[in-house]
Amino acid sequence: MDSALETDRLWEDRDVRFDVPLSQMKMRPGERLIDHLDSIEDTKGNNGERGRLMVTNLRIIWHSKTLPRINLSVGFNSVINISTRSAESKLRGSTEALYILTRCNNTRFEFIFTNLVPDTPRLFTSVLAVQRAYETTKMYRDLKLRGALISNKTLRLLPLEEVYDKVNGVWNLSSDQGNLGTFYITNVRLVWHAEINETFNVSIPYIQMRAVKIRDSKFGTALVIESLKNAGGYVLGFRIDPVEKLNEVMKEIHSLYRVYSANPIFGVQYQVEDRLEPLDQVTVQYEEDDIEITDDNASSDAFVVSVDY
Amino acid sequence: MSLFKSREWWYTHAGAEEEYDTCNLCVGNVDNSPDKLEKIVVGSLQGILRIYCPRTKGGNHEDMLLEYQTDSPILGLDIGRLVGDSGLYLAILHPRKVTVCSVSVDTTTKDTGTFYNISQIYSHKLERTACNMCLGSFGSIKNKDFICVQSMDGMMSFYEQDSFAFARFLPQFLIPGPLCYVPSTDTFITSSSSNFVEAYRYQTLAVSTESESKDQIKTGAGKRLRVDWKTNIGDNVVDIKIFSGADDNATTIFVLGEHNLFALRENGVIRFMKKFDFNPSCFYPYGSLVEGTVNMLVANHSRTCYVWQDTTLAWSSSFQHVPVNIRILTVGSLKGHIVTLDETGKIYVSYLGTDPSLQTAAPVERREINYDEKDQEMAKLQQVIRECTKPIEHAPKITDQPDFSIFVEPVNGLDVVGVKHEESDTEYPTVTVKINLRCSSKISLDKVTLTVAPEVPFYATQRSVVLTNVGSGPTSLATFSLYNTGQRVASDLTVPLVAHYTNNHSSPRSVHNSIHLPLQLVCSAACPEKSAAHKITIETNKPAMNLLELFSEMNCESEGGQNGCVAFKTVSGEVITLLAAKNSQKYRIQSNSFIALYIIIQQFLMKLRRHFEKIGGTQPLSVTFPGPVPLQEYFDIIDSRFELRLRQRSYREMLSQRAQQFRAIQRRLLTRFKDKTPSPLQNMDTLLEGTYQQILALADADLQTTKALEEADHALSTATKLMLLLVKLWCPNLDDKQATVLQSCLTPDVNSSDDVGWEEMVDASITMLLRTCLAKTTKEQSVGAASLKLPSDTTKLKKHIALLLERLNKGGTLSLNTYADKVSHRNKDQIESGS
Repeated sequence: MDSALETDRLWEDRDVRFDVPLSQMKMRPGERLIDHLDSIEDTKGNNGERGRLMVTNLRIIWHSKTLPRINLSVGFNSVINISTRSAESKLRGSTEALYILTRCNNTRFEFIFTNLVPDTPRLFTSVLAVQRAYETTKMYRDLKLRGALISNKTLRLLPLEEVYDKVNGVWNLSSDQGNLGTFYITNVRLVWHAEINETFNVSIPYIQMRAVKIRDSKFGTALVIESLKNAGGYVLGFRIDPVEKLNEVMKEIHSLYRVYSANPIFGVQYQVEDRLEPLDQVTVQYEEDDIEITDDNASSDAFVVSVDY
Repeated sequence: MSLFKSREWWYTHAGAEEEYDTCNLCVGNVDNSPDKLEKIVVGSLQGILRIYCPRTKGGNHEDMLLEYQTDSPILGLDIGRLVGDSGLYLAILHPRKVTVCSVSVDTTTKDTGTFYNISQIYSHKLERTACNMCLGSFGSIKNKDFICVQSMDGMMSFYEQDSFAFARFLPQFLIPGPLCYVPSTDTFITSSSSNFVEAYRYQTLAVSTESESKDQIKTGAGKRLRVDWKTNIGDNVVDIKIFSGADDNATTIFVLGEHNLFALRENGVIRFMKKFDFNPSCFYPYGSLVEGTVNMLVANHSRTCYVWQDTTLAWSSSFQHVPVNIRILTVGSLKGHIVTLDETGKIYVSYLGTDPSLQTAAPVERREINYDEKDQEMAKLQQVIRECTKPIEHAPKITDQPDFSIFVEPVNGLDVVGVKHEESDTEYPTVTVKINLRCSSKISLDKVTLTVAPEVPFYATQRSVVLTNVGSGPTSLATFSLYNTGQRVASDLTVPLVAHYTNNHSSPRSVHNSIHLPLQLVCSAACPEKSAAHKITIETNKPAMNLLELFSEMNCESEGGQNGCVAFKTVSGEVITLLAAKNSQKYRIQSNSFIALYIIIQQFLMKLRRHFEKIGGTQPLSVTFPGPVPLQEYFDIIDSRFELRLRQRSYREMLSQRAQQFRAIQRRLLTRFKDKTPSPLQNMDTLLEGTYQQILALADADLQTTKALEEADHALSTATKLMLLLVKLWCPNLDDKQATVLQSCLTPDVNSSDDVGWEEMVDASITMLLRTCLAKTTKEQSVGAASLKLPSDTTKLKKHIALLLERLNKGGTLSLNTYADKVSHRNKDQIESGS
């Protein structure tokens, strides 16, 4: 189980990668293609190169049309700032461009994308809207300590979240005597908070879990959850009495984790408006006119009447 | 735009979709931790309070100590000694509430120290919507901080820890400005909407007893306060901050405007000001190492951070964002981190450094320019341009070298069978001339037209011959048959010959040559005559020649010619006798026809010269004419021609008169005939008939005169040629050049068809010569030029010719240069005599 979890590490939204293989260009489970735009130029790195920009719920992918191995994958988590400014493009001259400032592993990258189709703000609207949606849904993907998770003794649910189980009497084993608290098991994450202090809490999305196992500790048999390295690399121990209940909780978390892994919920919700249908779908085929005009002017001469008169 | 970037040390994003304002950040050891670590406290307008403790570079999940959702928006945050003990507490300003909280490590997790409690110590409900607040030890109280809240409508409420003290309305209030407390003077500093910075003493505020009752506060009926001082800064105030140096006396009030920064003393006097060329967003004063100065961090909307030491710019670097608040943070032992918060909740902890970013994006590949290649291309293009702009030569160059030359084979004697007259069956003397075309270059011409233009009495059987494929084949040959009809005495034995063709460049060309006819064609040997009307004697410096030998081709012996005497008979019948003196070196040419003399004299002189050239000798042949010039004969010819001209003119006048008369009669007759009532013709028809006959007669006469005039023209032309020849022999000084001048004046080119007649023309020319180069007196020079009109008689002309010849004989020179010399010389004389 350890290894299975490790390989599936989520990198798509964290990293900025260049010239990735085709396998990494594909959508990972739970990743959705939100918009794709042809005729986009990577004005900074590949000026003069026409390419395609794809916006998913996790990242922005750009690849060259002529050489698909020239590509970029920019995760939304690495984005610091997105702005629109004027840039100099070889294909279009001075034009409004999308500036994306990112930071990955303490290195900053700036990307400039230009839409080669004039007067179409779709590039800006799509990227900005998805980035905003990503920013506001960090709770789906990030481990959080001491967050404002609980209000009025209940969990503040995320929009797509459903609580599957609430387990009372869960001891957090971070301190010597332990803290009694409550588990909330949802379809997105696992939340624990102390009974006596609501700010004493932790929220671990399944995507950030490295291992879930049952281990012996000085407090006896305990549920151990390890988080990924970039999520702090925490080892959290919980004790639930009796052991049967612990196993039950363990099983539940495990099965939910598997479901989640197959179809992760990243929380980015979107609604596509006014998407233009492809040209071949809206093209109305020209039909040959098969109507035949028959001419039967038996006595249709208008002058006949007047002459007879 | 700054060259340097502020180096990011720690970063977090405090919540998406949240907003932050200028008062929503404070820095301090809010949890009273023993390690004295400074925490960053931010509270958003969405009511979420967060406390961060940056510990390591980059930041991780544990740096957030606390996240707490409050029930209303957070307008301001500050840290102070707000509870009785000396610990620090957090004051949170909400629109209708100000809360003082303690932040502490959760005791239950003390050993791990990772979880924090926030608990409310006390809270005050606000009657009026709050704008901002400030903390301070109001009334110079020790080790305690009180809270002052400014409401949106200008009420200052004072809270002495958990109890409400009092509230006062600020006078002339419109919009709340930033609020600040100066401990050294116990004064509140704010700004009014009229761009004044105002100061109110706490004591003044406190002792205003009028608004003691709560009702009055509610209704806003507070007494007007007196301002301690106010200063006009003429700018909208963004923020006010105070800075106290090491000695508390030197407190400076810094006011950040939208375009300026003011530093005021405690009493409101401006210490200095600084004008900005940017829009500042926030600032923070801090202590300087240089005594007496204050450093300031000023951030602007162009993402730049400036460090000013009083009014001197010390440093500038760019930021990642536009901060709304800027602070200085000490992390552990490391001082001077810059904390910036922007309106979206991004918090940066950065420092002013210059470490270079090692990883830079690779520059876009550019193709290297091959300069040699470019130079070549440039040269090539310029060549093309030059060729295009070159002026096109429409006309090909005319080469001096003609494409071919014409060779005329010398004619030896007359043809055996001559050309015959159409009617009389008389045989004319005829010669056949062979003409060769020799191409000088290897070209071929499609078509060459050879044309001869013989003058009367010579005629050609065929005036032009067309030769094809000249140059490509063997030598092209053409023959012309020329014959003499004997209509008049020939004056010239040369016949011009012209070849026309179109060369390879399609431009028309012509080549000229001339045919020299033999003397046999003009005359034949005859029996010498002893007497003649006209005689001309020529002297030479050589012994007399054997004439038979000289004219060997004429075969004079057969007609009784001797060594010293030969005679020729022209085709038209004139006999010219040529005599050579036996003892002297003289020759005599005599004939009854004056004009017939010319051709013989000319041919004789030519042969003579050629002969002596062939012999050679120490002394060249010189031929002289002793005179007198046969002027009388010449004048007779002029007169007879002039008479003909006059006659022709009178005939033409008469003809025009008669024609006019004829038309008048016709008109009259026509009206008669048209008339409906016929009237007698009154012999008009006879008159018409008579006039008609007259016209016919006149026309005939004119025709005859014209023919006669043509003959006279020829005679005059020949006579003139003879005269020119003789004058040249007669006048010793006349060289070839002068002879040309003379010939152009006394022209042998006589043509009666011209409007201007020969007489007028020659007279004008001679008058000109006499007036200029041949003039003897100044009076002669002033003679007016003759008009080109038909003169009434030829007296004047004859006189002028005689005068000309006389002067020439006496050594006159026909040169306009000498004339010019003369004129200048004379002018000089005049000047000298005048002076």
